[in-house]
Amino acid sequence: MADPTQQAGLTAASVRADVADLLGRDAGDIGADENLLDAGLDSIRIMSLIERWRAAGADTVEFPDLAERPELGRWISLLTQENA
Amino acid sequence: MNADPAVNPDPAVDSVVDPGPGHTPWPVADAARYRALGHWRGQTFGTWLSGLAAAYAERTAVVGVSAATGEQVRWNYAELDEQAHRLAAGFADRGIEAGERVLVQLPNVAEYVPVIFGLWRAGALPVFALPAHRHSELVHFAAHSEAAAIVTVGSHDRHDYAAAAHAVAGEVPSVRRVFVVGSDEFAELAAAEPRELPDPDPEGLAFLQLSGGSTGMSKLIPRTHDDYLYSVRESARICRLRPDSVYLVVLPVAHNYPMSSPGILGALHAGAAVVLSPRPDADTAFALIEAEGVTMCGVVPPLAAAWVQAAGRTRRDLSTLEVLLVGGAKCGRELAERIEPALGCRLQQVFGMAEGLVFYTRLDDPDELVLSTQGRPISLDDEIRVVNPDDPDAGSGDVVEPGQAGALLTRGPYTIRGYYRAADHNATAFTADGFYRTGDLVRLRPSGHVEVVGRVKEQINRGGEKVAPEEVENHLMAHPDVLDAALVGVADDFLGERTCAYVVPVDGTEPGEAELRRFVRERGVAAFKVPDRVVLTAEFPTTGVGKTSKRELRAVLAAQAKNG
Repeated sequence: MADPTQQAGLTAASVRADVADLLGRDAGDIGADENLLDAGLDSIRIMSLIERWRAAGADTVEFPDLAERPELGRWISLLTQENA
Repeated sequence: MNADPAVNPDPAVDSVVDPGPGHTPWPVADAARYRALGHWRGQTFGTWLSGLAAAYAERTAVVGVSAATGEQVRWNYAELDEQAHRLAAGFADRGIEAGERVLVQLPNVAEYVPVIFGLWRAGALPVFALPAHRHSELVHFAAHSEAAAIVTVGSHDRHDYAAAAHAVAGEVPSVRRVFVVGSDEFAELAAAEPRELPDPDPEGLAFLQLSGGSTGMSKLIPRTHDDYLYSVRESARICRLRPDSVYLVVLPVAHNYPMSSPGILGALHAGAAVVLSPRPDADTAFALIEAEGVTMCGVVPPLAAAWVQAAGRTRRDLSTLEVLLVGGAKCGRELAERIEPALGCRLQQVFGMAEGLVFYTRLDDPDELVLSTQGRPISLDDEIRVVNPDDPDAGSGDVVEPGQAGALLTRGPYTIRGYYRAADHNATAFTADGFYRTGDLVRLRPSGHVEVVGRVKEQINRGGEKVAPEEVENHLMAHPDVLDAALVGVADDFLGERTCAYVVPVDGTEPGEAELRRFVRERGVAAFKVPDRVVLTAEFPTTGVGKTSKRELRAVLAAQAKNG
């Protein structure tokens, strides 16, 4: 796992890369509205992402925020100023 | 080697009741010995709780979110026992009879505790489903146990449990009632005038737990009041629970681990408080640890890893936490070493199975043993044999050299002698002299501490949730574009193991990964059984001959995954 403290904050690309890394897929392949639970994420993995992203500066994100709508586009807009 | 798609087995309808007894009793001489030693005390869960209520009446027993109100509730021991009496009467008034099985699918809501005691007081046998279980699994549990009723909640975490229960009731003829905790009807049931009902036989069956299974669908594990309560009392003692302890449940409460290792029952035995967390994430759990002064909690390794990470940035006060139990899957040494410094509490490793046998590291064990082993058995009367791992039929006498890895066999005062109505399976799952083949590959230290090395049975341990390859393969093969499938476990930094399905598509088709995953999910199975990865392959490697080839195939594929 990359050392998250070296990240200078979260970007759409870094969020996408973190998710792709966990799913073992190419970052470009994941659709913005694809259901990430269908894609193989689960609550334990979502928790690991939360820890990584909180350490990278998204310090208010909580588990239900991500679990409610497990879609990359939604997560990127929650975590960054960018769009997917 | 390719399976004929025309004869794909369909687990959802594999619900024919196996011949064979529900309960395989211990031999008379063993039972007499367990009684004489005081392990079995002739006490039921109902009378046990009433005894606790007399001793600890005003002390807090249960704290949790109510399914009825969504608000946190707090019940003392006297209130809990009274609710158990009312619920028992309510269930009995609605036709639930002693000895009948009742499928219970409840999330971590406060009502879970009084509901199971109410069922026990009514003489009914809870069958413990997990919130993650879906239609095909619930149908199997209900049909196989011939459940008379289902107890569940309404909508919870975006899933309509009540609708799912009604769908099961529509398919399984034995299911006469669906009870929805939180509904007005249930409130009426729970308000029944409390009364004493006939106390069931303490050496008779109390409930059915689920096994992870290794071949096809989960087996049902029949436990008695006497045998289970022995393990509960000893667990409470080993984990040093006291009346001022506070035990936090973060895992799904119906798992055997948070039930009794030491779990809610161990905490109650000590007069301690049980706090139910609706979710396992660090934010939710740490807030409860601070607010309730939690002293003990049990987690699985991936959760422990997430908590260790979260501890570095939390502002919550975790100083009351004395012991974190880690179990359900092997806790690697690296993670084990990080727990005490990060969370400021003692690590206690636990390794157990719903079939019985539980190991704990002791709180005064040297650090080296706590970090590198999964502990030693609860009881001196747990008989442990480590036998030849290469022979699936190895008997209790085929022991390996001391210190060598081998297959773990056990029998004892709280380990079952047979699965529920599964005569055929029992013939291979137990030795002729009654030892249970746990399927775990272990190494035994001279101190009696055990080190889990892996599995001999084909079962994938995905962060504490057990997955049977055959069950998932059967679901995959029900897809029209799938000719054959093999599910293997591959190493995962976070989960220990994750699942990878190798799929041979029907000629000319190319089912997508996401589509196959969705297909399995929509077949009605728990999310943890949906393959993490799906890899299409034109054909499977050739693997020797005969009917065991699926097993060999999985081994070859797992080795391939490991090497590249």
